[in-house]
Amino acid sequence: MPLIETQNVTFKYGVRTPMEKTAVDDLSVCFEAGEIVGIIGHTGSGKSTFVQLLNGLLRPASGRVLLEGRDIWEKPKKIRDVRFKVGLVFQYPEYQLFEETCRRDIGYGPRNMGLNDEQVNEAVERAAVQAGVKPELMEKSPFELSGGEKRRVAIAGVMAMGPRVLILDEPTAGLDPQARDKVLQRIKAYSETTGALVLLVSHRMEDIAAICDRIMVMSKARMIMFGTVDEVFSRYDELKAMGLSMPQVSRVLRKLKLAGYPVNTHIYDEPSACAEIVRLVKQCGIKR
Amino acid sequence: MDITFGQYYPSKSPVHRLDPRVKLIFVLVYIVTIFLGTSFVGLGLCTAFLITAVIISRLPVRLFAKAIKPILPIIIFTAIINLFYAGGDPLFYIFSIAVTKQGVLTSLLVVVRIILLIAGSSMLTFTTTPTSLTDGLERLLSPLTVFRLKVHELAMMMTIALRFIPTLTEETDKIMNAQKARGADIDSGGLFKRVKALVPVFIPLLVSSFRRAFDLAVAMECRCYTGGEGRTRMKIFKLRCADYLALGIMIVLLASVIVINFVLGLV
Amino acid sequence: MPSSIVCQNLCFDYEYDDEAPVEVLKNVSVEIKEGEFVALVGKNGCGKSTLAKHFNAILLPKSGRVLIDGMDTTDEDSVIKIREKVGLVLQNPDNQIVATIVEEDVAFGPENLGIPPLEIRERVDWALKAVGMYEFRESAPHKLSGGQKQRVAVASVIAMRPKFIILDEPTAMLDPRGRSEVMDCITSLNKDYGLSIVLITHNMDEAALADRIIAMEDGRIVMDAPPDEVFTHIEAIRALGLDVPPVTQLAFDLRKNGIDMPQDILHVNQCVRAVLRHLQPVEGGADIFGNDKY
Repeated sequence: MPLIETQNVTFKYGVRTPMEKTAVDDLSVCFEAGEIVGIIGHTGSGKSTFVQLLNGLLRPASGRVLLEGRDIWEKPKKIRDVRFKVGLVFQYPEYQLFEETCRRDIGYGPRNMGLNDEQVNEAVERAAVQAGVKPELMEKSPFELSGGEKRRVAIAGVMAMGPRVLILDEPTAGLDPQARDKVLQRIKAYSETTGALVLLVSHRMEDIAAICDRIMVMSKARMIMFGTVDEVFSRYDELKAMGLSMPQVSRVLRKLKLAGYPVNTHIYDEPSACAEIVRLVKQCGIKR
Repeated sequence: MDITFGQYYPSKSPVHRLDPRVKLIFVLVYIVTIFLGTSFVGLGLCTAFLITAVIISRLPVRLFAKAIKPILPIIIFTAIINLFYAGGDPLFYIFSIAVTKQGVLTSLLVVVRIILLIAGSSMLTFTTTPTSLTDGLERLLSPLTVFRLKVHELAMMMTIALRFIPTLTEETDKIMNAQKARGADIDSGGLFKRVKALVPVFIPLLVSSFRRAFDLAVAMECRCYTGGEGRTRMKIFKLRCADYLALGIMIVLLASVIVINFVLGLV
Repeated sequence: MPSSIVCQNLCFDYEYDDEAPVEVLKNVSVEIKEGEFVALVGKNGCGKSTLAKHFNAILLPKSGRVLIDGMDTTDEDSVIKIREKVGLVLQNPDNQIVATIVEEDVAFGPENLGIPPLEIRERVDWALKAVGMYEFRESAPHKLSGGQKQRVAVASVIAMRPKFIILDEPTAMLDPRGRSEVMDCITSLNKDYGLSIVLITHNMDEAALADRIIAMEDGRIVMDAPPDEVFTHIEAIRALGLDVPPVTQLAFDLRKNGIDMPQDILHVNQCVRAVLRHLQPVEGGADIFGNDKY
């Protein structure tokens, strides 16, 4: 049984107004526990709406969202319980921090779950480690931290609820390279240690290729592709037509392959690409 | 999300294209006229005028119905009060309270007046964008700067408020959703619980509003803003034929109502 | 005489109520000339934004001087003239648009300068055309995309007819399409309109479009050179916390492995061409450079 799945889900904004727009159109897809899935698509392709349907922030106009086999809207009054299981980290999540200390802020979700002080504390400590928030920051005000630290505190705030599904919308936007690598590393580790499903929405193909197992491609409210990283990136021409891309180094290898050289194009990170080209030059290089 | 405030109804009708200053003065005079029009003839004239204006403006009538609906209880309430609290010859009795002919007439007059008032002022907001309304107000009031009234500053504040309402509404929505995703329970519980549940929304909103205000102040300084003094405006307001015509109609309307009052010997 | 921005031994610190002042700029001296396209790069908190705010007298030096065309920014009588010459665009486009209609926002600066109405109209139309937003002149700003809003913000600044435009991470909050819209707009203003640009960024592929890159670290200028020279120090750039395009990194690593690659590789096609030079030609390869922009 898939951990979470959608069956013919459709969502419209501005129903019965001149601005009516279908944001998600008849989308059916299954995600399994333990995998990391990248969701890519142009701004306005419907990916942000799609992830909000998964945790019950939006209710589909038609179709069903099943979490562990049960319709999340079976009991609308219990929708909060779904949100504890399906954690959603919005874009620029540091703008939602509000408590006096990082500890209190990370504990906001667990407190809403109705846990007792001891359990809350446990959850907070665990999440701080998972998100990479240093212990000495815990008693500080979140507003004093650097951008990367704030981001990790905000992510910890969602991890603290111990979600089975962790969804992150552009978690690395606006971060410098070091902070970005740290965040990606923490996300991957969360999936590995907890066996949770992670959905990563991102514009950066390098991020997607670095940690994802599968990629879902959205365009104009529909799912266009869903497959392994190799499968999706091998359809680069279609991606390009949708205004999407793939990692720069992979594009270099792809062009070399098109030029007629024996190159492995299923490589997405820079060090491996370098090794591949070194190998290629040894094999087909001009002998001097 | 899309919010239309000031309920502006886009169209290119002659009324929409009138100078906002003319429209502002017009509504002011119109309100005065309604209060002077103490007879049915006078109010009838106002009604006829309003109906003509609605036709010219090509606004759907349901808009006006929507504008009047919220104050319907007030209309009914004042009508009843006036019905009972007028002296004169009793027509009939309800629970031994006399309903007089004068009572019926006054309450009818009052109802017509309120409706005319609401419909007339709605006309202004339906046909004028908040921006040009602010502009018109600033230019109309600008002579008052002599009395140290900060007209420009006031108008600037209104403009900035109008500009940032959609931005902040969107932001509130975002923060609210983010906190809901962390299990915030904003929609249930008693008043105290709900207010408390909103703290996680208000604080981030406040923080971001300050940041925005700070940025905006820098952006305005960068563009050499030093207050109203020495400023020019790109848009020159120039009265066109239609504007003069409208002003003419306005004077005729006001004069007629005054004359009618004299003829009927009400003054 | 050509215009210039000159900083001489500029020092600045932020003072907090009960703590020791934090030094943000430490003895910075730099000159930017008319027509230049300069990228100012560095990690968050390195002082680059603080330096930029000195260029148009939003901040004033603690010690040292900032001269715009010879006018000292501490001279109150010159402040307006300085801001007319040096415009500043901020990171978040939402926070710098004042008016509720695009063209009125663009008119805001010239109105403050007391320009006659007809000329304002001309300038507004010119500025909106220069950034490619003329057809949106009557739109409400909140209905535009991020890239469009940022271009309106740029138009609002150039409508004051400045000599210099400072852009403080103008693409940081935009999606890839918005980014390229804004970057195209900025390069065109420099090449086609001769405006001097100071672009603050931490993306090296954006910085590479400039004629000159100034790198800052901890309140000091640590590098000041043309892009091809800066890119020979990839390791140092990464140490500064900057984003290096993956192909640039790839070219650098290939060089380390004994494969000769040019220093200034920023785009896929440049990299592919450089690699091809090392390979024996093969028969029947497809045309691989076809319609790709880079």
